[in-house]
Amino acid sequence: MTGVLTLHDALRGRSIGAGLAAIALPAAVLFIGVSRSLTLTLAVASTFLFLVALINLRWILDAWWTPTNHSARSALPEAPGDRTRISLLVPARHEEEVLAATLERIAEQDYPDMEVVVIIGHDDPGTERVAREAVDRLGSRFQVVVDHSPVKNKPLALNEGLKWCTGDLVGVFDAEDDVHPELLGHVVTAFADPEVGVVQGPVQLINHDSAWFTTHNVLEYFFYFGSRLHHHARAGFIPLGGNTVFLRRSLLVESGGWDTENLTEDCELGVRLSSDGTSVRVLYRPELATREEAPVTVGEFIKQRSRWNQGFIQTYRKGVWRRLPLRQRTLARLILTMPVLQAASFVIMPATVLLGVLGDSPLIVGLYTFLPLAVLLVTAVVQTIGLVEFARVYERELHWHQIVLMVISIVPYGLLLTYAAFRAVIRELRGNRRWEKTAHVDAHRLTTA
Amino acid sequence: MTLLPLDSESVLVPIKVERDTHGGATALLDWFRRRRVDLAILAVLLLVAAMFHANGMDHNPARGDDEGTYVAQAWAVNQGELAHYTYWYDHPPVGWIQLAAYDRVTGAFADSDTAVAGGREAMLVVKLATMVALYVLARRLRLSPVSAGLAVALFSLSPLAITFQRAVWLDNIAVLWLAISLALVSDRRGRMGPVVLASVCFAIAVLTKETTLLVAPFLGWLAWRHLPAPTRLMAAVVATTTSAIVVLGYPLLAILRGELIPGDGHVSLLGAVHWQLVARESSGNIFDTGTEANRVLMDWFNADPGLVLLGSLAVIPALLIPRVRPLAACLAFHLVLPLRGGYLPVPYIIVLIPLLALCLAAVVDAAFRRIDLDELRAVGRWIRHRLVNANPLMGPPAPGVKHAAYGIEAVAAVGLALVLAFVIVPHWSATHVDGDLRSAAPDAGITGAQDWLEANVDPTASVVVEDTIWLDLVHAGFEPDKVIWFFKVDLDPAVKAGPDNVDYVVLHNYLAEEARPILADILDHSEIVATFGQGIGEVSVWRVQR
Repeated sequence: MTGVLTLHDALRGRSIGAGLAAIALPAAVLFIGVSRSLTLTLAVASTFLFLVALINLRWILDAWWTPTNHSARSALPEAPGDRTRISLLVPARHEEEVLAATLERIAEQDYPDMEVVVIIGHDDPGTERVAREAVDRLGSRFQVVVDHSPVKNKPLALNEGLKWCTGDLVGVFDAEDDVHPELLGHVVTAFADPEVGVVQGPVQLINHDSAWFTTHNVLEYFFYFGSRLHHHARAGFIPLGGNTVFLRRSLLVESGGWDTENLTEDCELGVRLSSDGTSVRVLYRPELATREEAPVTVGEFIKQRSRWNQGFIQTYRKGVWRRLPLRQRTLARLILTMPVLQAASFVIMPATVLLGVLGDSPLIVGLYTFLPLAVLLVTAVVQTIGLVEFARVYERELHWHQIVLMVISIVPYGLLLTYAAFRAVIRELRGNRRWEKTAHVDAHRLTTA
Repeated sequence: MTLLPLDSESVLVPIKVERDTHGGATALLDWFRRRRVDLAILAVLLLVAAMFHANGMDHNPARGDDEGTYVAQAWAVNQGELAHYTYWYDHPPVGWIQLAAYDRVTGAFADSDTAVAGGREAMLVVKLATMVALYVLARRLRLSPVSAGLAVALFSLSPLAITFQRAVWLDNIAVLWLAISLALVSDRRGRMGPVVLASVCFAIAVLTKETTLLVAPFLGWLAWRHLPAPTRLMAAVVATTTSAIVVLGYPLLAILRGELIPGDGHVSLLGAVHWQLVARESSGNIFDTGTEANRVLMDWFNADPGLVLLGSLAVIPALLIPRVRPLAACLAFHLVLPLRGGYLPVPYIIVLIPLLALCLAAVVDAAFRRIDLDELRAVGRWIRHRLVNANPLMGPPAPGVKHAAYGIEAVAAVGLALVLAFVIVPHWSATHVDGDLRSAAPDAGITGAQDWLEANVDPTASVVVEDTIWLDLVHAGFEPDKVIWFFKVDLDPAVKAGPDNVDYVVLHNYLAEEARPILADILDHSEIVATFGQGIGEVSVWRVQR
């Protein structure tokens, strides 16, 4: 799958390495024969899998890697900032079920100088009605904006909403978000540092017990906002999250707002701002986390995940990140291709182990093919600890059989991810960039109420 | 007088060097400057230890059968096999794989006087590396540079240590990995990276010599102490899993070779483990004179009574020092373990030597730390006062002695120092200076036989020998198939040896006396043509009569 992309890049003369790799295998078969080529391929593939798994493990362990990392991630900004006006964008589409509760929750913010812009499509009267009722109830700080563009997607809605913002800071929430009432105060304080251009707040999926795969989805968020993002922010390259993200309005307007072509406008914006050297501050406090629900059906999950994957591929191909210095550029390449690399891993790994054991390669190569599997085992253990910590920190009930289920469903979940990545690549190659929206059933509220 | 600078202290304070974080060379120079005392102590120790260790190491102690086996197995690794005979999971192969790597790089087995001497060369390198790791460990446990130096000196210069560290024991290699992992988990910054690295090193130690698995709980305890509470659980779990997974590579190897479970016609890992743990003959009670265990114990004790006795005694005060407690507990556990009976391997002491040295040095360090030099001088005045007054009961307390307790500790510290000076040093000088550790006499028997064989026997001949010279004969042109390790004559069904196809036998006389049936049959059809060495080191050459 990456082959398609790297070949594509190689043809454009961008990646000599990929081009060399493409001719290396036939050359090897020609010069050292089939059997030794197989051994060589196994060794190279296992090294690749090992590195992918290791990098991923290192990222999810970042918060525990040093005591400093651990204390720094939950440090809150200290000096209180000026009373800056903050505008919140809440795009909603076919969300009449959840929108009212979300807006009421936002109204509970203890930060006074706030305005809320709810963006509704002109073809969605149901949601519009719910939004207008709520806004009438909640007062003048809330307003509804109708997006009349013929095509509907989130970045278009955000750009429309941005026109109506008056605050120095702009934040984004999704229609189903459960926002902590003290969040904005801390966010504004973080912006007291003039260097800070973006603040990414914590987001956490809550419904680990809705379905077997939601546990994994919840864990991804747990490690992403609790650990990985902090590593990326330190390294100076960070794809932003889709909500609970706050930016200086001037910065947003200067850089042209959200990319309306991109399926993950959040990631693309983060990449674009990182590439301009914008400093991103990541806030992490479990109690401040915006609570969300994970998709509860496999179909919804696949749709959402392949949209994300495709968005990452789009961002990779757009290539804004290529102007970064080598270190960040490498990290950018890794972060943007990681979903596809991991998906590829899942297909390649069983193949290498099988060929390593059953093929006629030397014993040492057979042993070596197990190395990536070893890292996955460590990852499984880390996920177990993570799940226990998630349940403790977010006060969720956790049964031992849920832990067992999580461990044994790592492989099926990996297969889902692989399928989603495969689907994303196919869609991208076909040029199909239609927006597939995720449906929300309010599972995070039903279960936490 | 007023010409002196007002804050005269500033004259003594060294000028603070601006640190350039970007300049690698400057940072390195700065590091050298800050670590100069440590580096100086370590450099001197390495030099002195290398000298005493290397001088005479080729033939002292006498080359052993096991040493030859490991060297031959390392040679076999470089030929693409795990052993020169059927590999039967006696030990995990990682130890001699490392020896093989050393030989591959240096060619030591063929270039040295004998193959075992080549292996011993690798042991010297291993020892020097272990010394560095041990020093770092001691410093990280907050021993002063001098005390850390004492630990390393005891570890490297004790005649007991030199005797065992010269020989090609897998335990020596394992101790290196153990020392590295102990030093890594004592990282004072509590980072996860070093702990994970330590867990890999520990796994390598276990795969080098499986007995080091006994250290695991104490290593974990030490790591736990050095990890800060918020990251402790995660780091501990990741490290434990990593270690376990690397070690599980060994059974995985057995599975891939189809040799995990015992079965007809092949060796197996579980079969070997059963033999090691259950079926192996006990060495008897270590306190009963005449048992094998007692002989082993007395060998250790006689090699260096000072270190064995004082180190063992030091375990109790060492247990009272929190930062050393995990290692003291490890030592205590290893000291108590042989009391239960069972099989006591000769190289068991190897893992104890660094622990004995470290605990002894830590206790000395703690004693000296509790008293400052003024107190020590006060004690000196007090003793002189008593002696001058010649009235031990009535004399007034000496000026300057504030607490009686300090006096007692000072006396203990001085006493310990005196014991070190009068017990350890004289014994060491006897072995080091008088040449007990330089003499090639212990090895004369096997060296004589080896020379005789290479001079008088045609390399096409079939010879049964001890593994000690197996690889040397192969290097001398004998065919690997026709140089037969005496041990395999009776125990490996794949080896077909008897009076009709063997030409010569080279064996220690005491081994000939306890020969198993087939070997005994060969010897019955042979006559002794030459004998070398004396006493227990007596080796004979038999020629088979046809």
